[in-house]
Amino acid sequence: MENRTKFNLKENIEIWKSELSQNSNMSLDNINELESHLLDEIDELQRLGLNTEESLLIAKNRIGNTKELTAEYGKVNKNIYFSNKIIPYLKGILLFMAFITITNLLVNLSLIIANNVGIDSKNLNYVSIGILIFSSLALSIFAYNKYKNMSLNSRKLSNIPFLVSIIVISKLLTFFSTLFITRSGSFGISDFGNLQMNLSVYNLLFGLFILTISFVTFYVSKRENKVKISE
Amino acid sequence: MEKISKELIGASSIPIILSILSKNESYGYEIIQNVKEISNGKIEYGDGTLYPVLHKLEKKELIESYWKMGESGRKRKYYKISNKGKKQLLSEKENWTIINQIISKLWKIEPSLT
Repeated sequence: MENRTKFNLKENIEIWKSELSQNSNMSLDNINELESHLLDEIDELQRLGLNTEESLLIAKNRIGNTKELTAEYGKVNKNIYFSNKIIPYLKGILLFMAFITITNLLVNLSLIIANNVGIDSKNLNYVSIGILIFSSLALSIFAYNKYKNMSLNSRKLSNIPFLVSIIVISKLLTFFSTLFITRSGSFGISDFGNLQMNLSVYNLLFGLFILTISFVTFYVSKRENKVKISE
Repeated sequence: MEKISKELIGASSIPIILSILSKNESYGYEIIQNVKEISNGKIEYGDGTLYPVLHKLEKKELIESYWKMGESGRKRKYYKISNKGKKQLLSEKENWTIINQIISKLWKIEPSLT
């Protein structure tokens, strides 16, 4: 016996609108206009005897898929088209900047904490390396677990205002902590230099890791012909 | 008779849309149905392709748009022709009449476009 839940037109239209807003270069006004068109089309199809679900399916097909709509609206919504193209690159740059700024801040903080606790220069070196490795591992495990549980909200994580706030706050804290370290006179310049050296090595390794991932992804996608690389 | 070519539909879309809007304010779905009816189904604008054309005309200030509650109680985006659009329509009429006359002369038939 057929057991189907009642088709919810409103909910399905909301899903369609959400997909359009995420994947196309249409403004909210454009999407609302298309929704009004979709409803007119559904009314017409229902008058012809189709049920709600069938009408929605046909109406959506008649309006066109996201790719087709993106191409059509791209001719008039050039600003939105440009923003949609550039935003992923900006997010990538901001994520990298946030990472660099936070690691810089961590190095300064480890020096201040070590000085207060009374750790000597040799141990400070190990502590700073430990903090960098530990924070990287903790972040990776946290992201992996979130990804595994399907709860990684990459949209929230790569939210531009959020990233900009993180960068500004970290930059300010780094600036003031560096000022404190250089002005207080209780920190050895060689300790500061060693920590900066550790950070440089760490950044170099991280850079190599990113480059390797980029190359592997590029060649795998090229081999599988899944991603078209347009220059 | 076969459907009209995409190129000709594209070239004639501005005078057709402006002509429809010069008679009455209208919304996308209604414009599509109107064109289909007037052309006896020979011109059918794609559902998703008309709106970018309308937005292009709006950017050129040939038409104006506004949201309004329709007779069915549904909110729709209506379009109406602007003064600039009316002037453009006159110019389009002259151009298309000239083209019609040229073609008619070449094919030795009487111009019928008024």
